[in-house]
Amino acid sequence: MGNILEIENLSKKYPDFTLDSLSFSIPQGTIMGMIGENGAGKTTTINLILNEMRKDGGSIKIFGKDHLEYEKAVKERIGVVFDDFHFPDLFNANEMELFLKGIYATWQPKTYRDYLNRFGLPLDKQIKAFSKGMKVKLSFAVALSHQPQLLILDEATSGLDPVMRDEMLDILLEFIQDEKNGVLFSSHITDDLEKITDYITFIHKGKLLFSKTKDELLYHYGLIKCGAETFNQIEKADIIAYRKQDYEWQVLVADKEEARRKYRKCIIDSVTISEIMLLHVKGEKK
Amino acid sequence: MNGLIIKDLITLEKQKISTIAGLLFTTIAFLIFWQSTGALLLGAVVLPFLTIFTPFTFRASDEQWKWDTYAISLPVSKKQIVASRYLSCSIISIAYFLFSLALNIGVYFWFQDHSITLHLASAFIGLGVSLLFGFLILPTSFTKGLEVSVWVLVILAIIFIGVVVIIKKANFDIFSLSPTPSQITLLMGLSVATLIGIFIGSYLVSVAMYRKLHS
Amino acid sequence: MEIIISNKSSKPIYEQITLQIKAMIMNGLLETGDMLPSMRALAKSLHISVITAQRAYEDLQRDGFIETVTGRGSFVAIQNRNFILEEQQKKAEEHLQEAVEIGRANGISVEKLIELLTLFYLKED
Repeated sequence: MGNILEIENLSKKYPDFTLDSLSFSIPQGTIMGMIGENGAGKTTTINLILNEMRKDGGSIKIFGKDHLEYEKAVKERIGVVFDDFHFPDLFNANEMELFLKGIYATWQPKTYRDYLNRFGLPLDKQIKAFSKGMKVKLSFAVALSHQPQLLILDEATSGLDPVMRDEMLDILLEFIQDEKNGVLFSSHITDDLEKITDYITFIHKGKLLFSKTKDELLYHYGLIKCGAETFNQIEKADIIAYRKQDYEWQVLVADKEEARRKYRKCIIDSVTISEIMLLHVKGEKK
Repeated sequence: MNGLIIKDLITLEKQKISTIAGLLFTTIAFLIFWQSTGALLLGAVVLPFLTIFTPFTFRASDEQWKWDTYAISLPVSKKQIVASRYLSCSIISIAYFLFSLALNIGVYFWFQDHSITLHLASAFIGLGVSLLFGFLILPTSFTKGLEVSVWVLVILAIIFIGVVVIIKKANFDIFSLSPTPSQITLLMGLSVATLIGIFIGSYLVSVAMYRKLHS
Repeated sequence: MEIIISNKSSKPIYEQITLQIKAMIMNGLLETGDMLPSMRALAKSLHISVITAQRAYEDLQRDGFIETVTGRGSFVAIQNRNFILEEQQKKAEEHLQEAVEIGRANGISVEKLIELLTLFYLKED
């Protein structure tokens, strides 16, 4: 199985921000979660993939093809759902289709109708009258109706209530039932990511901190909680990041089991994605 | 690229009632007050003035739904985005021109005050002015947002009025002119050439600016 | 077929899946030749990642519980003694684990535990 998206040494310099040779890839049939603080470079990465801005260096391959050389062909096969809604208020779902039919050679009217029915979206009502949830659902319907192979979500589920978020996760899992497809899911709601993503890419201050399978993070990483005395005994090499709380030290380690053998006096918990993120961002490195 | 034009036309379609009502009202008013001269004024001055709002309508709609952000995900090039806007605006100009042409021909047969040449010239001058304004406004409407483009429009309007005032001051009676056919041909040729030149320049500037905005 | 996943459990999700499928096979709820849902369908139904489901199936296959035929799907494999053996071994491990914990908690050394284990084991003979 090849990669649906391959990013290598991607760089972009701004006066106040630099994306520093970012590399990661999404294998076919999988969901990649992209996490990081606001301003860490997630949206910049997406904008560079879509060539909204010119990259300064590195390469981006989508479906094995250079994203600039084959920009149009590649974009025919990409569906994007943005964080805030991007359709004209006065249009209705029917008019959206008229417009998009003229954009995508592969537009599927039946698929679009099926999604609208499934989401309970009216064809002839102005988008203005839609609720926030309905708008996001329409975004998904639009993004999925031209047979995309790569779905890019930029904080797409952020404004949704838990029930709708769950429904959208269903849609994503359905989407990757086809092994040729893949998803890049940028979100700060680590809950969603924890459920369905296969990989997690963590970007911090324009740099890649890691890109790993989620299971490795959840099942191998561990959080040592201990007092100052024990903390001093922990080997430097074992510490990914640490931070001192009021009554305890928290130490992120890559191998929970090994840590359990080595530091028997400590409490060693499993970690969540958000704890990993928090320790990397707020914690220190020894 | 068809989709881009369809999008623009649907945007305009949203205000079809007010547009058509305004158009009919203005036309009837001009015909009542000035009869056949009204048709000449409509064709050469009033109708083109109405069309120059088209780029603003598009721009306002784009800004309202953050079109530029969405457009980057679509399989269309930046060049196509710019080109489609020129096409949409030209389609509107031509629609107004066809209306003006029909009106002027109708008025000619009804009143028979002015020569058919003058009536046709009115319609064609109107088309030229409409396209000219469109080409002058489009580059800024693309990149600088609505506010700056409105200022560009105001400046253009002032220049336009200035020219009219100067012609008036010079006691220039347009109806007494009797140019020879060769003069008319030359004038038309020059106008068309100028218009094409301005179009090419405007388009290139628009593409360059739009690209620069997304770099 | 029922599979119940806990997100709060300390056991990894793939392990929860393998344990439950193994139990179903051992209890005869799933019989030899029965088809399992595809990896992706399972991931979708359980709202878990494909890689987690894949890991579970790989583990099941490695332990000989299922067989995957490319293009056809995964099936419960022929049961043999090895399964049961392994299952029993798992049980033994659990008990040993318990012994180790008691040992650790009360300062019984590992040597002492091994000594006891060897003693118990050989006494039967």
